[in-house]
Amino acid sequence: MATSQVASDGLNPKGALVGGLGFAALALILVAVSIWFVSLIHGDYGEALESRDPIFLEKTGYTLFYFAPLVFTGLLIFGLACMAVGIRGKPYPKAISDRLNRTVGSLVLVGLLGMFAGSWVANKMWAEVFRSHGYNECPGSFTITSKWFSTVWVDQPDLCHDENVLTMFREGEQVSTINRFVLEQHP
Amino acid sequence: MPSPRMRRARELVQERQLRTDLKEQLVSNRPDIHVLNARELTGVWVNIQKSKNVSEEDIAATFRELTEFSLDMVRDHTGTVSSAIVLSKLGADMHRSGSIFGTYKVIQKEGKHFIVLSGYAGLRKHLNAPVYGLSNPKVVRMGVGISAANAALKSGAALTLVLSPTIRTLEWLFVDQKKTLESVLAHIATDIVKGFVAAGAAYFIGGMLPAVASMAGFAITAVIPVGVGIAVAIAAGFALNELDERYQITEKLTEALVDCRKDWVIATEKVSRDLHYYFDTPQGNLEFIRRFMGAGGGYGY
Repeated sequence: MATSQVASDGLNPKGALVGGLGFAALALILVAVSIWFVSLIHGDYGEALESRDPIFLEKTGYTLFYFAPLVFTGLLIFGLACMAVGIRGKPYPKAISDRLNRTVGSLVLVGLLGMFAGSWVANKMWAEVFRSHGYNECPGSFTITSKWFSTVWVDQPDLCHDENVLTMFREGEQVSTINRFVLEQHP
Repeated sequence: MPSPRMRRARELVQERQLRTDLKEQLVSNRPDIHVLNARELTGVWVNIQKSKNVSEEDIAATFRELTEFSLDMVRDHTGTVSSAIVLSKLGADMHRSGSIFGTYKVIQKEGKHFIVLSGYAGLRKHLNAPVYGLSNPKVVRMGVGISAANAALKSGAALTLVLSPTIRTLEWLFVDQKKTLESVLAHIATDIVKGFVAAGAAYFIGGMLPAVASMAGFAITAVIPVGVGIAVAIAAGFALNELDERYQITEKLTEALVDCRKDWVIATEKVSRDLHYYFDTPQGNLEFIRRFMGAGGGYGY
């Protein structure tokens, strides 16, 4: 694998400490965001299935975040290593640098592949769960919601073509409002 | 103790040396992809043999042994079948002997055979040898590292710029004609902003990672800034989507655009009504003259 090479004269412990701290903090935030995204979809889906909402949105893109913490853990390790150099004030030997590259590189690669493959598998699994609860997927969800990576699930297939529902989506109404309207129309 | 001028001169020399070293390191870490035909590959192969001090007769004999064709025949003319044989036999021989450090593959395009090979400095030395006058040896030059990441991210942002307006407009024209133009414009605007912010975040990370790594004295694998950049771009994109959904930014923008259009319609209607009054009605004509002469007044006076 191609690596950059640096002269030891370029060492800047203060820069390494600040940069490492920044990356470690960013990695922690990104891990927290990933966990939040995953918990968000689990909460939303669980609530929708439990309360038997007539319509709910599946956020298909958020399943990318099941494996994202792996990539951000790589970033965290990298940040911590830079911080360690900053605190020590002198660089680590090349063997450590190589080991760090192998570890972080593997985490990033596996994490990135896992994000896409995991998202595909998770979306299939969630779709099965929704079908088993009696929901149907609306065709052309993008044209209903105007949102990327969203799938509309309904308990009655007619709702996918209900002009009132489509108008409410078009006007940017929240799904909870649309559900209230649908329940009022078909109690 | 050296004078400040001497010190400065020494620093300049060191800086120049560092720059030269860095340039050499960058060049040596850059894999190239070459596409050669049978005649060109034969030229490269002969050059490699010559660099090993093999005589002309031995080179010709080895070539015949390997490919079952004479060297002159291949240099002057190669048919489709002979090209494929020469390329695969020489490719295998060069790969075995370590002349091709990367990968090689024989392909057929428009009835002609070529060998596609990638390699590093050692191979480039032979391929760039001026004595063979290779017609078109380098097709793609691949930059690995931050430049590749930047190029990918730029193309990602450009993709958003093209993809979003195209899909939104097609959707509006052919799928959902009841959607307002303001809504389409608002969605395009927010898509582009999200795309650029996400690409910017990834661009920043891709640039900062190698910089901080060099400050810490680490060498960094090219895949790390690229991979982390992609993951950060995805996270930033979805975070912006979530913010948009929570705070209804696109919907508010749509409403603002609708209000703006309504204001414009009201303003143009008022201007049109005034023009009609002042220039199309006798009372308005008089009023205009009175105002023009500085008498003041308003409607109905």
